[in-house]
Amino acid sequence: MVLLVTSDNEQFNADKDVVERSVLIKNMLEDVGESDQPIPLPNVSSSVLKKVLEYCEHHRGEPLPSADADQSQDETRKRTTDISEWDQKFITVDQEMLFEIILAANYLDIKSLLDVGCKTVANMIKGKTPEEIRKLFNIVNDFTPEEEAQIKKENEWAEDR
Amino acid sequence: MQTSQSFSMYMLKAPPPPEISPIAALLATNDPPEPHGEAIAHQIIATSTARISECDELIKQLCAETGQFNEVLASLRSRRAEHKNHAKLHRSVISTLRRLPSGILLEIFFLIALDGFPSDIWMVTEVCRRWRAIALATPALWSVFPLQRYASATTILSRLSRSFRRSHTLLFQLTIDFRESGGYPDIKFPVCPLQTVVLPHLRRITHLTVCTPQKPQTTFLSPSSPSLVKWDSLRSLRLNQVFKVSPRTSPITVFQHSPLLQDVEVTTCEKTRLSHVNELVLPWSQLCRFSAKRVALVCAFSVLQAAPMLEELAVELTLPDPDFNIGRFTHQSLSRLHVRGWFAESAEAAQDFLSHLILPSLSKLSVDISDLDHGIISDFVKRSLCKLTFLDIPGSHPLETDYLPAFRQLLSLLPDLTDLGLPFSLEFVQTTLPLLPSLVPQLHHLYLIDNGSTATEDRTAVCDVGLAMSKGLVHPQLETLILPCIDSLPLHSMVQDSAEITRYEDIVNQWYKKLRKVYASLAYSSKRYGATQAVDVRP
Repeated sequence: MVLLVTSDNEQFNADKDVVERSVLIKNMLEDVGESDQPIPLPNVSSSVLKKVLEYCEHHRGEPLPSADADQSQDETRKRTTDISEWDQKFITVDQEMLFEIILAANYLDIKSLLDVGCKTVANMIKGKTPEEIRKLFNIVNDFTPEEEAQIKKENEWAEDR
Repeated sequence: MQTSQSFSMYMLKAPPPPEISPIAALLATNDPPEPHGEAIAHQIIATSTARISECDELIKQLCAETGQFNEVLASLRSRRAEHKNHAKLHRSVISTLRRLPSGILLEIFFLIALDGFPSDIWMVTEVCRRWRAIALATPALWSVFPLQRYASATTILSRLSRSFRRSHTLLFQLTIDFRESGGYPDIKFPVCPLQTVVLPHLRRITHLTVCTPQKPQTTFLSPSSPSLVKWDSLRSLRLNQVFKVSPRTSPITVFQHSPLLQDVEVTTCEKTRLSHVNELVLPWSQLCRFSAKRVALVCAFSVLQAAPMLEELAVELTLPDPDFNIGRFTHQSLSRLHVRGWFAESAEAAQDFLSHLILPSLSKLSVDISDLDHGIISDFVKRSLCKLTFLDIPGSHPLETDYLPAFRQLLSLLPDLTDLGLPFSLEFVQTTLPLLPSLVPQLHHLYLIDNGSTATEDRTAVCDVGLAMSKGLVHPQLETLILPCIDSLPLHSMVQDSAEITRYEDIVNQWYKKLRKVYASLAYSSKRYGATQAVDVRP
């Protein structure tokens, strides 16, 4: 078992083969060797770590993606935004939690979870107008009216799909 | 509170309600009143008129106050909206989205560019300065130009021109559709402007997909496009819906000097077929992969003759050629062959093809025709002395006469076989599945392919496979099992025996996890039934 300590000082015990889905934690465990020392995760809150561990537990035992799996252009071309049924249910959370999970997956280096998060956001964006995207994510339109007019003119085919 | 008191005062000041009339009896009749009654009526009318005036005065006063009230109410509502917007703006300040590193946003943009509507990535650049800056600073995001469905020709040209510019000097993947159908608003694609846009970037186009219209001379595939021949980086080419390539029309020649071209896929229009290799002038001698739909048998042979380096061939053969006359042909390099029949009647052509081939390097063979004769494949294997590791024969029919001896003999010739694709049906599950461990003990990957059996049969067959697995009857060393319809059938409706359910679920779910992974990574089904591309079934 491995003891993890979150940014809000909550402690989580988890199996080694579960937490080792995180490349960051795996490397830390390899560096420190056999030890009972807790692993501090200052960038992850308890509510987010709980979700991350739920994901790692479900995908326990699955092969980890190789480090250079998505380096080749061919591999990149094959990628789609399909998400498995379980992952879809798992990632059905409020927007802030979604982005927190993405940040945590990035920090903990859990490639497959990062993929699920990014695909979910991509799917939320697809098919929407800029204004709908801004509204959805609470993004400020920081273009000047002149800039906006210019960009709209460039992209005046907005009605096309 | 003050307002409510003030409103109450109005009711105190209000005149009392009308009293009971002393001449109430007259009110319900049409009889004229007596003089005394008439006087009473006049008096009541006067009193009521005075009280109406009192009410009017109070109403007037109240309306004035209500106006002020409404003004205050509107102001409050407006203030609330201001605070709501203020909170929203500040909520966006602390939004985690702002803290997402640019690399992650870019990853999201790539997913949108690769899998969204073609316009989606352009929308992203309009959202805010940060998103626009990230998108425009990434040439790779603009180096894939997908099929632009429902976009006008003007739009396509504008986007293409911008994509070329934004992708700087990166290798470029271009898909252009010239067809008039399919929701394309502009019937006449402006070919000259397209050539003007494409020409300066021709040397960096690495993957090209062209869907041609009814008249190929209106595309840059026309032989009168002498400037469009410098495809220095072109590695793969997809020509879809090529119209009337035949000895009577000018061949497509613009790709003949593409030094890196190795992978070509051709689909002819309905009712046409690729009759001879000369109809496409390609650098045949350097091709490694060729895939074509609706190909004449003679043409399939001429492709093999023209392309000695070919490693993978996928052909959908048309009807058998009555004047077909060719001896045995040996191709030394071909390692993957996918033969499919266009019609049920094309099976004869496919079997003719195999009967005349010797392919010593072949390791993967897929023969997708009905009424498959196992003997022809056995003869082919014996003749070629090839070591097949993959065999896909969805047309294998367990109810055929002498099925089992022929099937058994075929498998006995394939000691290196690790991947097997077979039809998925109740008959197959009942007759063949139990024999597989003894017939092909070395099998690692089994693909059971839905080949037109009814849903009821499939359901039973899935159930049988599940139970066979739970009893350990299927190869213990099997790594992959692909079932066609397990995704859509709930386990509890398939398995009636409750004692078996838990174990069955555990095992099937374990398999299912692997299955989904393999399915997704190989896109086996879609490629297979897409049928225009040779299937590389191994990761």
